Amino acid sequence: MAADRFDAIVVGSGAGGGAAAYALTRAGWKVLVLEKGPHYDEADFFHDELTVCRRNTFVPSALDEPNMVAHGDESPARTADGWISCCVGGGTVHMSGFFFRMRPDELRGPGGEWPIRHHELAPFYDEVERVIGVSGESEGEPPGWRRRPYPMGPLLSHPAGTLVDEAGRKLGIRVFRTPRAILSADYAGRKACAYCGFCGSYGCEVGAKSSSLSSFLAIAAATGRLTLRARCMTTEVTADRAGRVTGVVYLDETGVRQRARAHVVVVACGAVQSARLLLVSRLANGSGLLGKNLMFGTMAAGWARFPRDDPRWPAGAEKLPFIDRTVAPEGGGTILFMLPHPNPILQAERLADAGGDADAPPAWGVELQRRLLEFFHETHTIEYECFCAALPHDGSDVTLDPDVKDRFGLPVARVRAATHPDSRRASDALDSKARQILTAAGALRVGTRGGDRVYFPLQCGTARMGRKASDSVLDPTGQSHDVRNLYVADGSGFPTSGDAPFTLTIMANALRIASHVVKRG
Amino acid sequence: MDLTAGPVAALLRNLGRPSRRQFQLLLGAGLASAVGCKRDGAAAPLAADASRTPAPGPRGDVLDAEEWAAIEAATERILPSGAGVAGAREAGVVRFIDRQLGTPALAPIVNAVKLAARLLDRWAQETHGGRLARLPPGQQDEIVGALARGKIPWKGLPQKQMFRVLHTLTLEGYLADPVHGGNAGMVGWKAIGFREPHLRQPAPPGTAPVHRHGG
Repeated sequence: MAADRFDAIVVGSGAGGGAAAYALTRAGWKVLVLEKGPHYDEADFFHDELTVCRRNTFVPSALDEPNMVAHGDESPARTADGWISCCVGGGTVHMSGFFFRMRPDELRGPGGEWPIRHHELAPFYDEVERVIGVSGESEGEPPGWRRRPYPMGPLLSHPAGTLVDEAGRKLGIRVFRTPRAILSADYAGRKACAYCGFCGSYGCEVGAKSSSLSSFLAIAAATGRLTLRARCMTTEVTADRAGRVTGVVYLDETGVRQRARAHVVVVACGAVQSARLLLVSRLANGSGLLGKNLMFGTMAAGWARFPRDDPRWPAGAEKLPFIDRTVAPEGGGTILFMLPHPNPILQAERLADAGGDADAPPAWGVELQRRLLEFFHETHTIEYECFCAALPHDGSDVTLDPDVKDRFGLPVARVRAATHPDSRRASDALDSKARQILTAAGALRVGTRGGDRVYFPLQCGTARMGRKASDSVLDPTGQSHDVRNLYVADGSGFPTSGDAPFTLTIMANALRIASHVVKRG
Repeated sequence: MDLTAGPVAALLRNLGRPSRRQFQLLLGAGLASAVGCKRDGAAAPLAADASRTPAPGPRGDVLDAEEWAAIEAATERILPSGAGVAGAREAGVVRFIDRQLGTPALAPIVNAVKLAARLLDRWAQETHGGRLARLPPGQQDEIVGALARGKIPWKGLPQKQMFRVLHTLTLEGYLADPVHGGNAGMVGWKAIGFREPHLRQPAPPGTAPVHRHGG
């Protein structure tokens, strides 16, 4: 069949792909978005933990579409880890939506340096926040962090948030509201948050979560210039001998091989899968750095127990699921305080796994019942997640697995995931600080969840941006040094990860990249 | 932010890194060959168990009657009733497990669960003269604990991983929406004081989730 022709093809519909599709369609371009996952909409989102979080709703099956992931020196194991989310809207559909900007100093680190200045990114941060709807309270933030207020004020907070505020005052630490990609008010035709508390791991049936699905792609569709094809797995990006991208090959939803042609191709499948796609396509790797410098979010997490009768948990307060407090310590990093996720099975698993070493069996029997009772009935809990900069190193990369193929016959991604020791140290320090703050808040007991700090859904680095083709994959505009009109607009291009979840930066950078695409015409 | 990958991912993670042979056993390289692995010095492998006369009692679609009884007993030890709180038996965890084992996503761990059931019964027979379900709770705890620590003297089976699989399925069966066959009458949710989640709308039993990723 004759190939479809478009002005641009965007592969992947998540944070980067959605933003790129929005910008290009608004600039008058005819855009094809190919998404390998299904197109869920609000009617498809419900809160059944087993179906949504523990079966293959958002990630493929590790049986027929695995990543082969090796932690540290261990041998690779077949897993779904490394997939962010395969659906229209990608990871932004089930994210919790912690939306931090990178500060100027985060664009430079020991591991790398962005080849752009912060002021080139700043207007796009403004645009993302305004277009998709980000809620927050700039008054409490460290001075100089932002010039503009948030488009809307912060979400309502559970009274237990004041425990963190008071601890901050006691310790002389600034505590501010976590900016969220969740609407605190009706906005741009979408409804405000209903405070159900099922943000993380679930799609938002209200449309209040500012995912690419509810915002960027909806706006792009309204231009009439968007063609969105779900259940279409892109298997190759194609280029001509002159080094210009020509389009893609993909399997349509019936599994039939199709071609689509375009002047520009924007790849945005997440750092793991974007690297894989380009490696499979044998493109864009003149530097030899494609797949290298892989960075996963460096996250430590833990908990603090408070007395059951603490007045900060009055009856009825369970209707307010958010604490939304953030601390950004002087030395770097970000500590987020929150209430436990409502998922019962998840919490029970965490309780059973707490405290033992990796080899010990999970708690069972009377001990398990005791832990369930303590957590669910005898105490209240505040949890924390802390993030610090991931550092690129030789032990962390994406390659094509030499043996294992997915159900489409493509070599799967082989991922080596390991936290750099300096990141680990910084993470441990933040972890301690978080527990110190909660202890000052009056916690009965505090604890850390441990683990290797690798947080797979935040991934970047595998197609790093730089000025020189010899030591980078993409130029400062996000274009491949080797293949004209081929861009990568997810986190792959990041030379640094920054100190906080970086989904907002993926979106802003994608808009910046799209602006260059449009300028070039 | 929170994301739990699908169950096979979680369970495969829980399976750890068994040897290639162990992995094949668990992935159903053949129940016959799996149960053919022998106890050190034992006369007969798990399959050719002379004492496996058909037992009365419920069976499932995937679990036979003995396996059902063993899994029901084992999961009740993992999450026992007590002090007015329902345990795995009352919650119907074994029914949940049987239904889950019939789904394509969990087909790879059917072997692990069946082997665990048979191994527990076999070790119960050898040490206490009766199948797991017939023993008093204290002795059941010894048997289940041995599996949990990988201490049953039976070569070639990744016992710790098999225990983890049972443990994970127990928690799921206790706390998942009742439509999946466990958490009967919401006893699990009541035990933890969990109010029904706003907008449960789980898929009706027997239907596939709204969209699936091939398999």
